[in-house]
Amino acid sequence: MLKRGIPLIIAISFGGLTLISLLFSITEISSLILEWASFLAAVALLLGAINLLSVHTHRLAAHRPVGGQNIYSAALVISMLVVFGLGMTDLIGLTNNSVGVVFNWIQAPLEAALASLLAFFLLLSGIRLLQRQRTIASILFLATAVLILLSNAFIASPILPQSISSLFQQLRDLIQSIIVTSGIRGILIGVALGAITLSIRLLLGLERPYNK
Amino acid sequence: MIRKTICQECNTPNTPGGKFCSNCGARLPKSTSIMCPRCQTPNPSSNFYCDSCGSRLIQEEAPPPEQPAPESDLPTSAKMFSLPSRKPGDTGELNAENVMDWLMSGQGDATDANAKPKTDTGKLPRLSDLTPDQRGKTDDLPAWLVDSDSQEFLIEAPEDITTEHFLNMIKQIDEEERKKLTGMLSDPALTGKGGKLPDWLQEFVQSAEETGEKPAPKATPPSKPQPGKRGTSSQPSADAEDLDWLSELGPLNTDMLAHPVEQPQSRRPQSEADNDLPDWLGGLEPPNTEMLARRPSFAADEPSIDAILSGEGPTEGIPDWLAATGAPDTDRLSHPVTAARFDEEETEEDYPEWLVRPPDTSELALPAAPKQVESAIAADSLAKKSVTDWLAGFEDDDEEETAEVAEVAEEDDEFDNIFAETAVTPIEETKARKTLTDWLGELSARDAAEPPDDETAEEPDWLSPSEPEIPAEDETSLRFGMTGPLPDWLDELEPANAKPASNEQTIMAGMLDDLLGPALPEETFPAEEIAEEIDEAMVAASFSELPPDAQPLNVNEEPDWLSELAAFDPNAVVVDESAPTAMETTAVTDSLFADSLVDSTWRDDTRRDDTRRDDTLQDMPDEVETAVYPFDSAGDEEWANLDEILSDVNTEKEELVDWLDEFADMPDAALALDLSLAADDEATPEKPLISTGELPEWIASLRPEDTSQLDSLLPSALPTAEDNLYAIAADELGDADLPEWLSDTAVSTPEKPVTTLVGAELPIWIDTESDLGEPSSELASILADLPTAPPPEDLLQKAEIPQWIQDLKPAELTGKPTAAPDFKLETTGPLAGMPGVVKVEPIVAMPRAIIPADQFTITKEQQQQARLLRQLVQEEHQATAQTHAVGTAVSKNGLRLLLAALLFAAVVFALLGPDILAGEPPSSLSAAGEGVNTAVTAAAGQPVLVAFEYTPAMAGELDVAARLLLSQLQDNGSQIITVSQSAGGTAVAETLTQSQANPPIHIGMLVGEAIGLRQLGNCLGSQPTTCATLQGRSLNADTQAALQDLGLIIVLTGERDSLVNWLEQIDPNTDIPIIAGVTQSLGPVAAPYYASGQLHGLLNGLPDAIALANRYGSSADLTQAEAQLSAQSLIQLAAALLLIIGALVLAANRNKSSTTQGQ
Repeated sequence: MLKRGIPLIIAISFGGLTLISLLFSITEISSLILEWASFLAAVALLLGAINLLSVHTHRLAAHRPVGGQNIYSAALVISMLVVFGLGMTDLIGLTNNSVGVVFNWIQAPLEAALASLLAFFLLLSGIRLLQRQRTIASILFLATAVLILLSNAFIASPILPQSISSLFQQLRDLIQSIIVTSGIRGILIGVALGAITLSIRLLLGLERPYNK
Repeated sequence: MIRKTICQECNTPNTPGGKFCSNCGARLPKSTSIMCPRCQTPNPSSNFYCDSCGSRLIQEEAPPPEQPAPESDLPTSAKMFSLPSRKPGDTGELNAENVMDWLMSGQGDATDANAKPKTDTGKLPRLSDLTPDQRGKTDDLPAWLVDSDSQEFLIEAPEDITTEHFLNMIKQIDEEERKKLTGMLSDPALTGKGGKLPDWLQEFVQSAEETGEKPAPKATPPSKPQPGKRGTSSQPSADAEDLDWLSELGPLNTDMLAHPVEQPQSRRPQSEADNDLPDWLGGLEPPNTEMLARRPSFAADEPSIDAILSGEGPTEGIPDWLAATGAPDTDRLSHPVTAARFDEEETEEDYPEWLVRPPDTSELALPAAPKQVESAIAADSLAKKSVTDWLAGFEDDDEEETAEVAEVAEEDDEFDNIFAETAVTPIEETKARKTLTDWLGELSARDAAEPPDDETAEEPDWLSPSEPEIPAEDETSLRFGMTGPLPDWLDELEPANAKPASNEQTIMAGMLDDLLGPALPEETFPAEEIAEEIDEAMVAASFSELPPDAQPLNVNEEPDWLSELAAFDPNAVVVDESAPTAMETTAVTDSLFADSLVDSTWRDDTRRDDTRRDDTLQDMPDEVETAVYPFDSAGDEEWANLDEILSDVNTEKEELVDWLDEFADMPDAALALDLSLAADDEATPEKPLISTGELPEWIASLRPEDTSQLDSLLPSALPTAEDNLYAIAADELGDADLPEWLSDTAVSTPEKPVTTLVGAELPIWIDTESDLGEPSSELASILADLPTAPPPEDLLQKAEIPQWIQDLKPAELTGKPTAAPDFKLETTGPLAGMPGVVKVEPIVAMPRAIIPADQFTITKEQQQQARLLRQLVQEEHQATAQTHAVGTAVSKNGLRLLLAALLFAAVVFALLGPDILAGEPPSSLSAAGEGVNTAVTAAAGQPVLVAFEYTPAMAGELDVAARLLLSQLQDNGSQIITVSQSAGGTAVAETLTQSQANPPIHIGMLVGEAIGLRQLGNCLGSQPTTCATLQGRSLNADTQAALQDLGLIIVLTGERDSLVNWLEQIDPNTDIPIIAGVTQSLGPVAAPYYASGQLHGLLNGLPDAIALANRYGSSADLTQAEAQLSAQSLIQLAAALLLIIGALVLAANRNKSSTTQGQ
């Protein structure tokens, strides 16, 4: 009872209290609750970082042969400890912008390389889509993709005639302004409705994500 | 140990409670059961604790005090058996104090019994508790009960007293005990000199030993002494003076008188049935009815006494006086019961002639009898000469002088053998005679010493309530143990002794008058004449023949009857005053009869009071009743015969002489067995003992009105084996587990003057039970009057038998017709001939009901799902097949590598190769792009919050827009404040702002995404409160002022959530315009927010950024940005082409595969 009741009471009470403060613009209450929430979020981030380090440390300490996931765990643990150490050194002034150097030389190229593969994966997926499901949707999907790719490629290219380039420009704008915007708005409306429903359920105690 | 039920047929022990023998199937005797008072479970009668619940079945508390028996229709004799009443070995009510002395001591000495402190035997140990040694201890048992050889008990003490026990005991006695007793009689240790058998038995046994054979079963004389027949013995008596023919006549066995010589042969059939009986007991068996029936044969072979007396038979050898007596008048002597029984049926022919007809008074040598006796005392020759022939035949065994009787004896060897067997050696005979004669002396001494009882003075001796105590000084009588009632015919002599010596002569004279003359007063009885003819002088002469030096009558040496007769002679009394008086003689006679007639208690009781007799009968169980009154049962026929004889004599009493008349009355008197006879006589001394014209008045007065009772008393007049057995030593049975009825009997006779019972006397209960063959007619009549006694088992409390057991009762017992089993024999098949075969075929052939199975209903949805699953599986299979087909041409990995290589080549070619797509840079902006320039321009000089919400992965596309915007802001003089929801955005912000001339303000990362943005939003714009701290971090004043003056928020992001959080958490609380620079992929998502006005401008990827820079000019370097845009366009074109090529190839392969499948 206590295990389910107390969190429920806390969730309902603070949800209602926040709702009231927002409705009636009671910033003190909302600010106080936001501070508590942000503090808890900071603590949760810290706990998350410690938990991540602990899990992978136990995984390394386990009597298992080195290899497989242990390597990833070791890379994670070492990276965390090194960045934490560089940040401490930056803090105490032993180093200067060492964390930025690590970010620009390690994390930024890695993330950019990973993002560049997106184009390759999209192309390969499009091709395999035709191999697996040659449906209208898939064909439409590929046709749209090809059309957008071609329009973008020939927007500023003088290779194609201006009329054709303009046609591709209008088609792209048509797709993005009408089709994509309509679709995105529908998704956003759905997200908004879902957010409202979820909020009501949280306030009524019907949804208890904190007990999971 | 569980007591087994012995099968009567095969002697197989069976489990108690069974009805049929497990061996032979014979029906077993019924057994009783005890119902548990607690659980109502029937238990065997031998149980003391319930088999089911363990409760005690028999109450331990002492029996309640005797209370009057409730009224019931059942006879009291049956009620006595309240089975079970005691534990095995527990004597229960058998208190030693209540046991008769004669049973306790076996000596029968009343004086000693009174003087000796009664042993408190206490509770006797159980037989089962005794050790074998203790069991073998026979100190407390009489010798005759102990077989020294086998060390086995002749009597097995029962473990419990039950009906079965008595029944079995009786049966065992019939079968086993008789054999043992028979063997015991042949035991010289018992029957020899100094043995404990009665004299007559000793004589019998010894004679048998002399003959070298055991007594024949039927040829042996009856158990009763046969003094009368001894006169016919072929062996002359060496001590003839000791013969006491009167004493022998006293216990006359009339059976012998009428017993034919051919009896053994004639009784053979019955003897076969009685093979299990001892020989000597078998002699008791023949009923008198048979003897009466055989009388003709007897008369045919030899003249019977009846015939002799009646004159019908040969008269040779018969005294004339006896022949002249004729048939006596039986009316006078008839026994009441006998007379009533035989008045119409019997005739004079049925009775001995000598009793029917009075002897001829002219030749009747009655006076000679005393004379003969006197002469016997003096010398044999004198006695032989003086005694009449017929009397000599009775009293003397001198065969030479009794030629007539000897002739009769010679004619039949067996008849002679009877007496030959009874003949004893002179020494033993002398002893026997002493025994016989001593009782006379004992009686004399006792009577002399015993004062008359006033209360019983007028009562007949048989009604005497108590028996006189025998003086202790009567050592003789004590030694010989001969006490008993005096027969009337001898009792009449007693009053003389009660008188002073001076009156004895007168009394004796009167006695002689009574004896000889006036016994038959009115009737013209020949005996009267005979009596008149008796000369007193003859009597006197007879007595005068006594030697002068004759010793005083010594009961030990002289025949008692002589001493009695001596009293007849006044001179004898005068001559020797020390001689025992007639009273003493009478007392001795009483003692003899008392001893010989066993236990007189019950007889006394019965004679005194009919009710007591009846009560006694009723108090005994049926099966025991006959045992208690053995004489009524076993000797009934014999006594009946005697009764008949006596009744005949009684009818002819007038014709008898007085002494014969008295003799005829003798049985009645003898049966009285009352030791108070002397006292009674003394109470009436003045009365003439025997009047001349009628019976003595005192005798007449003593005659019971209901003379029928005398029938049962007759047997007691004769000393039989039963009598001797009845005088069982009390000490020998002191520890025995006696039944209640026997105990009661013993208790009733504690003062019985049986003084010196010889240990060899057989217990009556043994012998009597052997004579249970046929009850006497008198007893039968009594029993007939009694209500029919139900069987003992019916008297027991009916056990409640459970119904389920009742149901198990066999049909033959219940009488219910049993339902015949409806089993039919199987006629066919392998089971042919077997009954009760279950018919399987009909069962198999029976049609079975068809139970429809549940119908499965398939809905349309299920059908669609199934179709879809089937399609997926098939398509997957087809796709896989197609893949493999394509793979054949271009491997899967090759395609991937091909695609990767094409893309990589396009990028390298666009960056390093000629700009094949080169043309004019894009300068047209959309409205959204125009809004960005408007917002940045509007915020010139104001702090601008730039949110770097993208990671280095998006840096290649967004960094162009970020540097363009940062250059414009720097150009507009706006303070740049950087913030990010992620750590990567913070690093991107620091990296891009490093080249700014006006150092930006880095707020850092806002924790909590939306929450952090919410808190930041509260500090932005024109909020009433300033934020000194943000999420725990203190903000400096410039930061706080910049946040308060903030003119534009630029969100650079490639992620939707980051954009949404800014638009939802910041926009509503402030009016600060928000513009966004997003990637081309996020452009469609951000476009709606721009359309809605939430975003005031939007840069959509690298093309809008290059177009913005080209349109409004910027200080930033756009060369690298344009090269990136050309490479991007090439890659996109390549990708589009690859997609198109790929689609075409796949389509071509599909058509090929379909064509192949169609072919």
